[in-house]
Amino acid sequence: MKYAKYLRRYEDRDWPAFKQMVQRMYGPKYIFNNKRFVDWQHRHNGSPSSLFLIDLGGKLKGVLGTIPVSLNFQGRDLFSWCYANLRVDPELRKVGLGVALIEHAKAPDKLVYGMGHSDEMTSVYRNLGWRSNVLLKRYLHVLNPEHVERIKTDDTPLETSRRPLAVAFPEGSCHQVRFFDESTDAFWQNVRSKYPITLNRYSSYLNWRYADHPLIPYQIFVSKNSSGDIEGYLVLRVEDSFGYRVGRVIDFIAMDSAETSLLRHATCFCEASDVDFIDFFFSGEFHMSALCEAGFVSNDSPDHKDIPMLFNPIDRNRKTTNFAYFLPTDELRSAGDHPDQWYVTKGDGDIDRAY
Amino acid sequence: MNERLRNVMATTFQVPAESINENSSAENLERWDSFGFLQLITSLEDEFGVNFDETELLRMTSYKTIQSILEDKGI
Repeated sequence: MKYAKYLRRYEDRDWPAFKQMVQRMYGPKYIFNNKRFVDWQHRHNGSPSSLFLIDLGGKLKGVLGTIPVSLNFQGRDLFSWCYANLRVDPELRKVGLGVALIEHAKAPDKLVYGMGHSDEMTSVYRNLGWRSNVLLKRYLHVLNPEHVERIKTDDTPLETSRRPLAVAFPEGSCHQVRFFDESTDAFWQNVRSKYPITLNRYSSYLNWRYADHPLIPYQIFVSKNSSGDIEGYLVLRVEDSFGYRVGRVIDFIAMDSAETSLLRHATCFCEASDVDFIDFFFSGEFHMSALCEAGFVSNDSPDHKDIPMLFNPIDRNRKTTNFAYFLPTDELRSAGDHPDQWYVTKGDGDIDRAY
Repeated sequence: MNERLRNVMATTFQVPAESINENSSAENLERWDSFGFLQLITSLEDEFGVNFDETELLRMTSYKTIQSILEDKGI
């Protein structure tokens, strides 16, 4: 493989040089400047080090972050990798280093997927045999029409005061929790057939991803039936950006009976927390009826198409995000090359950031 | 050598050979991306019977630099 001698895994001693590279390539605000985040995502994820580097004689020139994950793949558990971050120094682009990183990090015969790649990378992934042109849907629920009308056209920050987020928000069958207990595992076994290809939502993964996140305070809502069994959960991140407050549904898994109540509960929380609008990015055709019942509308609709997804600064071009997957064997391609059967949410990537 | 180089680049990047010239580079050939570059290298190594080392690869961002490196190899 070309460039093999320049590619290696990140080690603890790399931190100073790694941070310099991140500041040069991404800027000082990028989340990779935070060592707690890097350690959490790439050192404490069940793999010794899942961060791959381009090292040109001691100078770091690129990075690919990967995360080991367990997928529910048509009913069976499949060890896979999620590619979360790829960047090559602008001075060294288009000379094959990105492809070399992608191929170097790939474990033999393992499924790989990732989200949020650039337009340029769409064709690169496609040429490497990935399916790379799958877009996530975006559904929105407007709670403050005045603010939302403003953001459709006005590029200046909104100046307004905000109430603090609602706390301890129990209502009916829905409760706010701080972590996922072991009963989540039984719930997941009961509901997983509804989502043919998706991350396995075992409590160990969910707690690592949401409850133990070093930087983002997620709001976790759980719905239980009268017997105390979990019937669904929803993870929300409240983002304050550019003067606006947005409720981002990051993850949502529910039995049919609990879908609407969970969405309505999250909506009530957002209303009590002074949120301007809620959005939810996902692939496939999941939860569509419940979303509509709970007041969500597709961003394809005329009233919603001009609501930006990225703030600070406001980006009026990007309307959604994408994902890509690589199925390494004929058997996996036959069973899994159906984008509508994949359930991917913003929780799958490391792009769930407040900027 | 120049005609063979032009033909390899044209085939790799799926453009007419006449459109490849001394100004052709990663900046103005649409299909020249990370994957296209590695295809180009494989085709050049096959066509000219050479191997490129990593330091050469990092410099090969245009027709001119490729031409120069091939000349250095006695092509």
